[in-house]
Order: sequence, then C-alpha cells, then structure tokens
Amino acid sequence: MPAELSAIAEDQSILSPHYVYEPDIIDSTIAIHTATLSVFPFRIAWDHNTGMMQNAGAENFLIATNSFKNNKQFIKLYQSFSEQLAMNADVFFGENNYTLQEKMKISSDAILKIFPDKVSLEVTDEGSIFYKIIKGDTSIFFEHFLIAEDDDPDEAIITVYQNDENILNLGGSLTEVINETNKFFLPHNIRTADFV
Amino acid sequence: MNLPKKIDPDNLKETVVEIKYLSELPFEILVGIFFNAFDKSFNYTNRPLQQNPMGQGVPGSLGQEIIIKVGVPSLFFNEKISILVSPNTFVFNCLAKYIGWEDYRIEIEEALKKLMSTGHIKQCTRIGLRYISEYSDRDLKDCIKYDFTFGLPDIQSETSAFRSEFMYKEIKVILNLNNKVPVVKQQLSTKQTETIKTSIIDIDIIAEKQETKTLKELLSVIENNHTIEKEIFFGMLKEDYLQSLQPQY
Repeated sequence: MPAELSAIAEDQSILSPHYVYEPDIIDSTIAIHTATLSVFPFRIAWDHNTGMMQNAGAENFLIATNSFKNNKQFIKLYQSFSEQLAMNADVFFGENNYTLQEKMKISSDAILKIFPDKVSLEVTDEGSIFYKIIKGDTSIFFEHFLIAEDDDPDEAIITVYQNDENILNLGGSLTEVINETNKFFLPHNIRTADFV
Repeated sequence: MNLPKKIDPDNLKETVVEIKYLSELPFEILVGIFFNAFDKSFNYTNRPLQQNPMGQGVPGSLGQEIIIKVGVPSLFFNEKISILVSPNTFVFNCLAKYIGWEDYRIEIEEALKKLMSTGHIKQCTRIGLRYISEYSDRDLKDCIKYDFTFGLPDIQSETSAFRSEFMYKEIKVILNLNNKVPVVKQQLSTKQTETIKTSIIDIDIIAEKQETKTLKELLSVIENNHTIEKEIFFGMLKEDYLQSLQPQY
C-alpha cells in the first residue's frame, strides 16, 4: 500500500480545473486560441468530468479535452519512466525507486500543468529526466536531476524556444525552476509540493 | 432508430464514464482495498500532492472561491483503459484511441465487478457518460443539422459555440457544440506552426439521483446512457455526412 495515500487539501489541479484566465498574461506565452483570448476574459469552472460544466464557450472543449488528455499523458510519462528506470538501474544504484518515482511525479505534474500538446521524457545516464515538450509554437526542454548530494534539493534546468527564439533559460533548485516556470506559463503561480 | 455500431473515422477524443459512489470507509483505506481487488490486472499511480494556492493577491483570482478537496486521486490503468478513483467518483476513460463500445463495456464491467466485490460500495448515486468528438479543419454545419445562426441570419460567424441542457427519456443531456475554434499546432517534422480550425461535438449524458446498488443495475444504466448518447449523436448528423463515415449496423 503506497504511503502517500492520505487526505489532503488539494489545489485547483488539472484533474478538476477551476481557473480564472487572465488573457493579457497568457496571451504572449501560451499560443492557444489567442485570438479569442485577447478579446474577452473568461472563467472556467469545471468540477466534474460529466455534467456541471459552467460558462460554456468556444474554449471550453480545449480545457475539457486537455484535462482528460493530461491524465493520459501522465500515465504515459509514468510508464516510460518506470521502464527506463529499470533499464538504467546501474545509474541509480543505491537510490530508492519509490523516491525516484515520487520525484518524477512532481516534475511531470508541474510540466503537465501547462497543458502541453506533446511531451516525452528520457532518463539520462547522468541520473536526470530530460523532458521535451511542445505547446503550440513553443518548445520546452526541461531537465530534472534526480540524484542530489546529501539532503540538497533536486536541481533542474529549463530552456524555452518560441518560434526558434530563445525566450527563457533558467537553472536552480527544482522548486525554484518550477515556480519560475509557472509564473512564466500560467496565469497564476501554483506552488510546488514540499516533497522535493 | 437504427443506430450504427461503428463509424470510420469515429473522431472520438474522449470517452468518459463517470460513476459517483457512496462508501462508509475513509478514502485512503478504500484505495488500498481497491488496489488489492484489482490484483495485478491494473497498474497504480497517482498525481502528486499539491498545496492549495489560495489565489490570494494573484491576478485573475477575483471572485475565485477556495476549493478544498480531500484524498489524492488515484490512477489505475491497464493497456486499454484508465480509472481515476477519487473519494466519491470512478472515472473511466480509454487510454489511447477509443476501443469501441463492445470492448470498452467489457473493460468497465470487469473493473466494476472487482470494485463492487469489495463490498464497500454502498450505492452509486450518479452515472455519467460523456463522449467528445473532435473534427480538425471541418465546419460542423457540413456535418450536423444545425446552422449556427442567430437573430441576425446574414451574419456568418467565424467561430461559434452552442450549449443546451435538456431532458431526454428522463435522462439529463448537456450538449456542447464548438465550431471552427482556431487552435495553434506545431508540426513535429518541420517545427512550423499552423492554426487549425477545430470543431467539437461534446455530448454529456447524466443519470442523476440514482440509488443503484448492484452491478447489474449499474451496467444497465451505463448501457442506457450509451444508447442515448448514440441516439443524440446520430440523430444530429446529416444523412450524407453519416454515409461518408461508412456506418456499420
């Protein structure tokens, strides 16, 4: 029985989006139906997978399908990571698989919060996860270093290109990088978990 | 109405079956019991624990209520379907492409059989079925018997959305139609971006206020929801468009 199954106060997660979008903020960074977004702000309240979808609009289906797709993407990333972890056992010698998987969930979940069109990951022989993400005209490369010295926090690097123009380079602790990435991509900052 | 069993392409992007259940056990205990009941037929994972951002002082947070949810949603999946298990909800979905109702129904039945066999599902109170079809570069006016016009018929909308809630055979239906919504996509091979006008038919069938206690009753409601979904979907399609989908009866 996994240990993390405890009751929590959850954020407005991908599983039940409840966002307020601020077009002026995301218009330049998230290239998704921007023409519509730039005209009027809209509110998505999406509490259930069936029914109770409020404030329907042309954008709702994107939010809805992305929400479902997001879990599928998460499962694919999880499967891919688990398989590669087994193949690279020597790289992670002495590391606890459960801990590595929980770390992977944190970076994957953070990445999926920007609703990528496509995302893949590769476990490197440096003990990191290298994510390739495509969202509209934006390409994102995110590396999460899983093996930290002593009790130091995990580190990460992100590079973002929009139409071949480098618009973001950032390195630091995983928490810092995720928080900065959220500020960059999301209309509001979603804090990361304390696990890292 | 003679309903097709298969069309090609089906254009289905999401095929969700949601069941709200009641149980007397705490959720974290239930997940362990479900995990055992599934044995090795399903893999398990979950999304990580998140803190509530509260939305205070953040642009766009005006009027946004704080949502407190309990229990980390758990994901069970096999090669064909996934099940999102929340404190009072099971959400089934196909993992990749739609596997067809015959296979999907069997997968759902097998999973529910194991979940119900635990004896800890007291009853199911709401059963939803939601199918979302996506059409790239297609005007829905060419496909369905609805022309997206309003009080000013001379106006041709560049993009449109229509939503209707109604009762059909004592079941609640929420219909969402989105026509020609521009979506920016990047071609992986060339890295060139293009805007594709995308349309959606989103049909949500909801059996509310249920007191379903047995597997047989539950499957019957799910089957009925699916039949209603098909009646709504195929009832909307223009005959010539339906024929272009090579329907099999």
